[in-house]
Amino acid sequence: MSFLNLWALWIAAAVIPALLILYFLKLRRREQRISSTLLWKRALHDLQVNAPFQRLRKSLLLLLQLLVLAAAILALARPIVETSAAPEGRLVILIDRSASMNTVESDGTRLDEAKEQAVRLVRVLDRRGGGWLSFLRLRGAQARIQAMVIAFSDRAAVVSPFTPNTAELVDVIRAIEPTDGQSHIREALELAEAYIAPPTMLTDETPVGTEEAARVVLFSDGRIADLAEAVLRSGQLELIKIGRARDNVGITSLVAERSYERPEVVNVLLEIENFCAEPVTASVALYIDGQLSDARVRSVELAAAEDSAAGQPGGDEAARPGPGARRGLSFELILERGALLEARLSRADALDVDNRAYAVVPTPRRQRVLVVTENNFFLDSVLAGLPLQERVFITPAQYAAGGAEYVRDERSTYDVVIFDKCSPAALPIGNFLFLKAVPPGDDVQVSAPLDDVHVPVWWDEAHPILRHVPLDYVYVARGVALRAPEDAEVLIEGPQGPLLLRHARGGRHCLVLSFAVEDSTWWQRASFPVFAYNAIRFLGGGGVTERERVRPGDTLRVVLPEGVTETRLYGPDGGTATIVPDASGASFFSGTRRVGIYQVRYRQAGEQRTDYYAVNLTDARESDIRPRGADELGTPGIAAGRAIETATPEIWRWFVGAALLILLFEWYVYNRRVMI
Amino acid sequence: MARLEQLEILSRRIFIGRMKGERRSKRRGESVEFADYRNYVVGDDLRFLDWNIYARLERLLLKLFLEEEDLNVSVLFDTSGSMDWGDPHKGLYVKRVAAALAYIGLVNYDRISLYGYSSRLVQEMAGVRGRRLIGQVVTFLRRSALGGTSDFGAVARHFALRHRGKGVVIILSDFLDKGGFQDGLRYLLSRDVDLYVIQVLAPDEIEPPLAGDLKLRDVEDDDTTEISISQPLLKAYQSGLQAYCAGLRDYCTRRGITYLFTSTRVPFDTLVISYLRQRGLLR
Repeated sequence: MSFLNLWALWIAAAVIPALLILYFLKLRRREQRISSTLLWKRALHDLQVNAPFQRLRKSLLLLLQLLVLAAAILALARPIVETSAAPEGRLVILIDRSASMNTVESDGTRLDEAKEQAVRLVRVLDRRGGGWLSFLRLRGAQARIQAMVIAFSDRAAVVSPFTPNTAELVDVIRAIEPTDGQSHIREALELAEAYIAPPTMLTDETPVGTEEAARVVLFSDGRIADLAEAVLRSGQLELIKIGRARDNVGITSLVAERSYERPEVVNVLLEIENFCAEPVTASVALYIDGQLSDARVRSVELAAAEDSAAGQPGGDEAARPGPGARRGLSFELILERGALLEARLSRADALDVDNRAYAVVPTPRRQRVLVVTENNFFLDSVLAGLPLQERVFITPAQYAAGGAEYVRDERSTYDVVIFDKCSPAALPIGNFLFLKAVPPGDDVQVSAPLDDVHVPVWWDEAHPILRHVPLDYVYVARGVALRAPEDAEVLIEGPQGPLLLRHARGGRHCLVLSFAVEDSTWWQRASFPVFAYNAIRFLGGGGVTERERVRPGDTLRVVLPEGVTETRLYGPDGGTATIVPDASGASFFSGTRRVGIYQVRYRQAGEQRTDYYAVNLTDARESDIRPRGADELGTPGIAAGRAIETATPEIWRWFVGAALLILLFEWYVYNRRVMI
Repeated sequence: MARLEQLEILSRRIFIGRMKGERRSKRRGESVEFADYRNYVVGDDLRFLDWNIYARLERLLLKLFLEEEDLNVSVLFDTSGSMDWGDPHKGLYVKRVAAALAYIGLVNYDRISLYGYSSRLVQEMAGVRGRRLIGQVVTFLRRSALGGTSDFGAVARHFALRHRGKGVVIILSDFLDKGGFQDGLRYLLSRDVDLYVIQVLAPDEIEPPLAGDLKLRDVEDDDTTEISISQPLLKAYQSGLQAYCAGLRDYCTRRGITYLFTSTRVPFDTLVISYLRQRGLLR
């Protein structure tokens, strides 16, 4: 048992001696005249002779009053039943503040509960640090136990380094704000270990192992992507499971894309998943710029989620849904302008943040493509099949002489410029596709010509440029071996080096293919037009797909038109930030903590304009709010910690009740004159 | 006084019976009441010869008459401070009983002596005879003040030394005497007197209506006792009181002293008319 208000003992120190002094003071007796004291004296004498424990009995009232006082003071001291082991040495508190911690439990969110438990832990620490004599020392004085606090979602932040000041710790824990990010614990653990054992120079005088091992306590619902791989260098990670609710239906995916062929048509793909134990019916509404129309409300029935994956040892993946628990929905909208899409789930559940998803639909725009080539039939025919606003074929000589028609203010006037087997003298800012050529400069170099027939060895299927581009049975007769700089992204790997690489520098976004199309069998395959489509879209699309994939915690790439130097970004939670673009007009914003629409406002040509960026959770792992404890994880490095309930079982009511009972008994004793 | 006047009427009925019932004189005397005959011997007073018998039987018989002695009735009543207490008042009660007894005695032509005592005999009205003196008796009783400490032993010794005659001695007191009652009674027993002991206590002494933490002050000697009233203490007091009274009663019974206990709650006329007759003081 421990106490929250030790100052109550000061009261005890003052009141109990006062009571004793009252007892030592002579009782002021009422004087009563009687005929004779003869018989009274005899009675008194008889009674005293017959009662051997007279002294003790005499003090029964005093004893009872002392008991009443003691009970009252103990109640004032707010006694608590200590239900968790006292921490020793140093303590690292990790608090998960990812999206799933925003789940609403019976009282407050999981993050609130985690913070409250962490505060209790710190309070226990405070008392342990001072022991019973802690009320003798001043607040904030040195304690033996130190603690640090790390809050993490997809990124970890040290909220407080090791400090013995528990008051400060309580303040910083209370100040931890929720995020909608995903949860990754690795960074938090690395931070913690860095603080636990800072790298030191080992000399002969340095005593090894002076730093005692720290206890690492994690407050989380267990919905952490890499929790199963979480391993501490020394000791165990103590996971205190927060939360019980599992009632959640969430939007796990939202994609809004303009049809390439018909740019006014927007295809919206929604994925909804049920994580409840029961089948649910949810209705989804699609709002366009905040407006709802009847045709955009649909009701879906979702089967119950399966629990199998939750009990899977080391199951770092999110629980796969049972059949019918996940449903995809598609909407086809006609939108001639840019718009903000918002999908809303009407069902109220424990986690609110995944009931909404946003998408930004750009204004329909078609690219202007400039092809610099001597003559290329394949390119001509492929580009003719693409829905482009304009495609212009010129020779390298025309490009070199063209001047302002093609390059203005060091920027390319076309959305995408394709250099087929040629290269300009200087590269303006813009997006470029090089076919068997390299951009000027030293970044990408041709190391040797390749005259053997070779095939692509590996390609990045997940990359947007190579999406739906199978490269099987593609043979390359002639090409060049490329030497890629460090920061280039290799998309197709050949036997002698990269066949396709992406490289961006100083606003110049280049895609370099190491061979000419006609020197390979690629043009015969259907994958080549798809590649051309993807590449032109990727280079000139203004990041249409990229924008849609931003999750909380991801870095937002803001592309501003030329001439805009400084602008402000407004978050969904009302926060603002100043954005300063670099030379290419791009800027990066990393404060995407909450889900919603981020607005970038700027003035262009005297006109106020606003760009919208959507940040969505759309993560089944965070939407799956079923809490996992150490038992469900089954990872050896993680032990189950008991919930810190020190503050909850406050038992002062019992002491008040006891005081009342003793008071009643004392009253009875006094009135019954049981005593002398 | 009105009560005493009323008492007169009440006492008249008692007068029909006679006081000191068994107490016939052993001597033949000169009263009018015939007792016996006896043969004349030379030297007898010729006045008492029954000439009628001589005329009939020619024998000289002497008439013997009962000697009517007057009875010495001494009433010792306690006038110490402890009697000035109680509701009904003990002192008043005792005076009324004394007055009633005196009246009965006066009406009966007994010699009545009234003594008020505390630590010594403080008031004294000795040798009163005749019912016309009842006014003086009442006045005496009214004037006798209450106060002082009681010392029954000293008073009894003094009384025994002064009064050698036979008679009836009635003691009216609460016997709350720190010096004890045994010595005093022994002194009185040494005289050849009939002793009557009437112990008078107030109801508040029998069942004290006390509560709380008290400092008890004795009205006689200012002696103090600090008590906190409690159930056991009250029980102890009452058992102590009973033991004290029982001790007094036993002491008296064993020595042929008639003992009577009364509370002032009992009306004094009831005491006089009923209780004293039951106990044989009156007939």
